[in-house]
Amino acid sequence: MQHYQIFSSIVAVIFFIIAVVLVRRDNIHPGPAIRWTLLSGAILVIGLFPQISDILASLLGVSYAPIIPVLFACIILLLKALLNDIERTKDRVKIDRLIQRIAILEQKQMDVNRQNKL
Amino acid sequence: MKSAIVIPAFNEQASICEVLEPLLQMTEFDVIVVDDGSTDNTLELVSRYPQIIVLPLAVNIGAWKAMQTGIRYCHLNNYQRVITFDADGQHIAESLTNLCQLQEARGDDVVIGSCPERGSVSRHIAWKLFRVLSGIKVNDLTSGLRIYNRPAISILSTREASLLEYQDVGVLLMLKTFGLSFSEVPVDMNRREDGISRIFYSWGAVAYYMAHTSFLCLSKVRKSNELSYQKNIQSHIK
Repeated sequence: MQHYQIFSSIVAVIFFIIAVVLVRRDNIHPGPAIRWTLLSGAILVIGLFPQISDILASLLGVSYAPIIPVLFACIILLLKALLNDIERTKDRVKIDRLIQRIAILEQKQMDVNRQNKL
Repeated sequence: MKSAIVIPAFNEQASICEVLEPLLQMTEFDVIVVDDGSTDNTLELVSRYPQIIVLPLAVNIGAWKAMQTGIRYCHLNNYQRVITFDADGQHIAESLTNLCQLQEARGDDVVIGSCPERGSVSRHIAWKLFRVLSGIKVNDLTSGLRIYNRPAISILSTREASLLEYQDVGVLLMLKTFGLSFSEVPVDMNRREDGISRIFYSWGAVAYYMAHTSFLCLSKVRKSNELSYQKNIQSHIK
């Protein structure tokens, strides 16, 4: 085992353990938990066997093999940021409409209270 | 016709009573005030008038969303006409009669009380740009004095309308997409007493507004005309 393989293996194992522990503690919904478990599994495999990057690089015609996991990581992170923004927008609309509905219901309640006083 | 005046208010204790007094004389309208999470005495002042319908928002959600709260209330309570009115004292109550008469005569879905003279040179340049980008032939794009009929109320109560941030070009673009008609009536407006706009309160806010609205114009312009298309289908079915 070469030096860089030891380093990548340690990083991948630590990430895998942290992800699995957090998922087991129910800190995350089941849907994203599956995605994170799969992702940490993929990182573990590539970390333990960095030669996979060399094989992929020769298949894709990339001369600098270590850039491949970095490139995939960037794509995944950008996609995740975009999906998060979409989710955030949906949540914001839901919250705003709930605030509006509460105001309408509060007005209705005030109306009922006023009628009861009369 | 069941009509309401909707006034969104955020920290308007200095002007709100003066705005409400003449409106309460007009018995043909229900007056709805949406308190947009004010931190001053706006809510207390408005609550003193028993005839006013008060919608108190738990937190500040912005001028358009506050306005939409009033519009949603009117949609739920079967109002046929909504008039939007500013709480800062810019709009004049007497102009409402003229606006309503014109809407009844012409039958337009949206009537805008227009006062292009009030804007600065830079604002006029921005309006011209947005007119070109959006294809909306309205001179005063940012006027908050508007009348919406029942179809417009229905469209503006939707979840999609909750994505908008300002009650100007975005709202008109959305209504235009559904094939609703607009008209403009020249009205007089007062100068803003405190001199600060809720939208243009800083240069950063102006830059954001310009970028936001330009993007909205470019992304939302559609050739399709959903409501006209649906009306056509219905007329064919009948």
